[in-house]
Amino acid sequence: MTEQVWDPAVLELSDELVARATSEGATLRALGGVGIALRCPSARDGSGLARRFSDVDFAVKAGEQKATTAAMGALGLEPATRFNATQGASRLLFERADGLHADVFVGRFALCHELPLARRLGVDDRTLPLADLVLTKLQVAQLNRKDVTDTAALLLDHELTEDDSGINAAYLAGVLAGDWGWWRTVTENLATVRTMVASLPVPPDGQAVVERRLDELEARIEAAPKGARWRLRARIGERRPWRVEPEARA
Amino acid sequence: MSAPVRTPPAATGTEPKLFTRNATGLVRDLSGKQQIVWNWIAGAPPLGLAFGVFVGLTAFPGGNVYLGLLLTVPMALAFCYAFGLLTSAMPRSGGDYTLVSRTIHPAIGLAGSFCMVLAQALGIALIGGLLFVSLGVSSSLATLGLVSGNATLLEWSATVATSKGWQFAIGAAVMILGGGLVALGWRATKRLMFGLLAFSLFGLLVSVVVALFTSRSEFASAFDEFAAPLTGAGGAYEQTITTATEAGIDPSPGFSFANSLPLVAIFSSFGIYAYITSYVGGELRDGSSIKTAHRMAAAALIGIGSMALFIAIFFRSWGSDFITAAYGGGLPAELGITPTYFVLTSIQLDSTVFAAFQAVAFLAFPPVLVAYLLVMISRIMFAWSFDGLLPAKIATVSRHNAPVVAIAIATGIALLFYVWVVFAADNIGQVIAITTMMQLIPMALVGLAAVLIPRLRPQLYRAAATTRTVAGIPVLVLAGLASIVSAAILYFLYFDEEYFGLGDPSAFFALAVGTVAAGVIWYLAAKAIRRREGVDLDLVYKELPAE
Repeated sequence: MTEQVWDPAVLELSDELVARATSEGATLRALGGVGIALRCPSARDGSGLARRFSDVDFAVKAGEQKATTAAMGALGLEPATRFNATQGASRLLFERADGLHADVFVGRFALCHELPLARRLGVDDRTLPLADLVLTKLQVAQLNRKDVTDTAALLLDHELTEDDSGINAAYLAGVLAGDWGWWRTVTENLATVRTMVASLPVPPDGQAVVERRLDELEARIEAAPKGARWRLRARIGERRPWRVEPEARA
Repeated sequence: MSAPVRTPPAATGTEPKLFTRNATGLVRDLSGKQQIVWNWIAGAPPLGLAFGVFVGLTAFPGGNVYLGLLLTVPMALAFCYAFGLLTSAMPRSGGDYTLVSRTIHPAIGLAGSFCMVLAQALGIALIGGLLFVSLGVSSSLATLGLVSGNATLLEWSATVATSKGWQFAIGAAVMILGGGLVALGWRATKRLMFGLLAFSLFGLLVSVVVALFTSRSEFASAFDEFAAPLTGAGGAYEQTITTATEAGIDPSPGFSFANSLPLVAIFSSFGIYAYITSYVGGELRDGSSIKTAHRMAAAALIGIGSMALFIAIFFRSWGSDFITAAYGGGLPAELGITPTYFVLTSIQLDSTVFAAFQAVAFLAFPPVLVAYLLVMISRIMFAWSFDGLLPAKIATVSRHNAPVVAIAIATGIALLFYVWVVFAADNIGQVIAITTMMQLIPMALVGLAAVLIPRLRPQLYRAAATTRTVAGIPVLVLAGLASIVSAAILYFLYFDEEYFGLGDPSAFFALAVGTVAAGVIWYLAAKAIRRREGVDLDLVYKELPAE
């Protein structure tokens, strides 16, 4: 895959695609690095946490694949016909002539952990809600620097809140309280983010903000009441796999 | 959100590990457990137990079912590993077509897959149509009528059993229902298929558990008590054995090795197809790993093993001589039933509610198998379409990502075959044999592809999950050779045994040769048409497109 240099045109393209999809009848929302850059000033050009985009990621409701394909096509993104025909129930792929890829998750975000999105896609007009953006970053089994950078940008720019006006901590903690595997991965990754914050190009006062919000988030996660299923799974612990290892899609 | 590339930068001191990734990752739809279940469905335990296994007892007296099942195991495993290892090298949709066309030649791949589609369409007609109606609907109505004392249900049962019009109407409805199931989209299809399967297997398991805790004398007593008001006499259990014996059936024959071998041919009609996930190769989690083949093998072993266990339990509880006699026509005519497991358990418990539950549970299975075969056919058609052998329209999917055009075509072909099966075919055993033998053609071709791949496509061979050798011969080649030998043995058994009705093989050969020729001609025609469009079809087969 071609590594794209940071380019504000990609953000514009994302907005155009979302608008076009809306006109086609699809609730398309951005996620990933582009989604975070759209919501976080500190992740945009000229700021310390801006980074390159390797692709553009979106989510759409199940049943809106055709409308999504039409919207992508209108803006020059061709479908991966074979892949989309066989995998399109859960994932769609598109590619522009210059090598830019667009990945679309259908109905749910499913990589190391699964996050149902149908009820979350209407919350914001351009991207997934902030809490979901955090979750999609922290669900990976093997965190990379981009994930750390993006998570830090979200925590730097947005308060933890009880609703989706900021990072909805109640919702986020609820997702983790319902699934021990999710909890295990996210808490592990939050610890990694905390360790790495100091190495990020963020001013000291910004680092303090991120660390304070990490504290708050971890406290909310731990305080959320866990159900019987969560506790039973916790007793088994790491003796059984708790997440899926995605395969490389080159 | 990208796929892990297992090259973490060297961690130093207390710095946590970070990883690098090149592309957004992908979690494919069919998990490991689902793959095993998916492959296991092909073993069709409810249908195998209701029809295949016990019919063999009267057809081949003295044949040992356990030995027959045991001899089926190496054949099943050979096909599993030939398909599974080749699929690990080529994890794409299309099954035998993809594997053979990329290894040997596209024309041969297409010819083989024509045979596969024909066999699967015949399978849909047999399972979704005839067996569903005769074994399922008719028997269920009869049992419910007998248990509840409802004469109307008994009349309906007789009507369904004898009226070709009703048989066609009900069978066609099931096929269309199966098509509708797949048209709901992949996720809904999977959910419904696994749900119906679980319900159907629950019914079978209840029957097995009841048998497990029932002694033979208790069953005989319950059967006698149930039949007495209908026959006007006691001792129906013993009378069943006597009647069959008088009709020339030996309910307790001595062991016959010679008659155990043909049982393999019967068991192969449901026991050797645990490779079906090869047809959704692009949708398999860990598709390029050895797990793909192991999951197929696990499904085959679980299927055959569970079949042996269930048979042993039914034999112990009901008596093998009684089962042999019942399938040999010894049951009192007043009962008018087929002695399937769910019928016998319902009779034993003599409860209308239980009989209804058992009937519905059994009837839930054929639509699962129909949907499953339609998915398989649609994936073959996808592969044809992607390669340019069929119009791109064939791969059209609905808003729910269901391959609606391919489903409609496959259902249409199956309905045409069902017309033949209901109104023209006069020997169902022969139809089953032809279905299996047609399917063995592409299966043997996959075996041949496994043998030839190290020589013809060394790069693809090296991409397989294993390149291990035994005595210097690659495991994949051994699996391929075993597949070819297995197919040859089964062909011999089908032609050798009069029971299968293939004494005059000319009809079968005409069908097989005609289908293969149609495949080759189709390829040549498609190649010529594409050449005019500026596309060299031969180049298509030199690569594995992203999926």
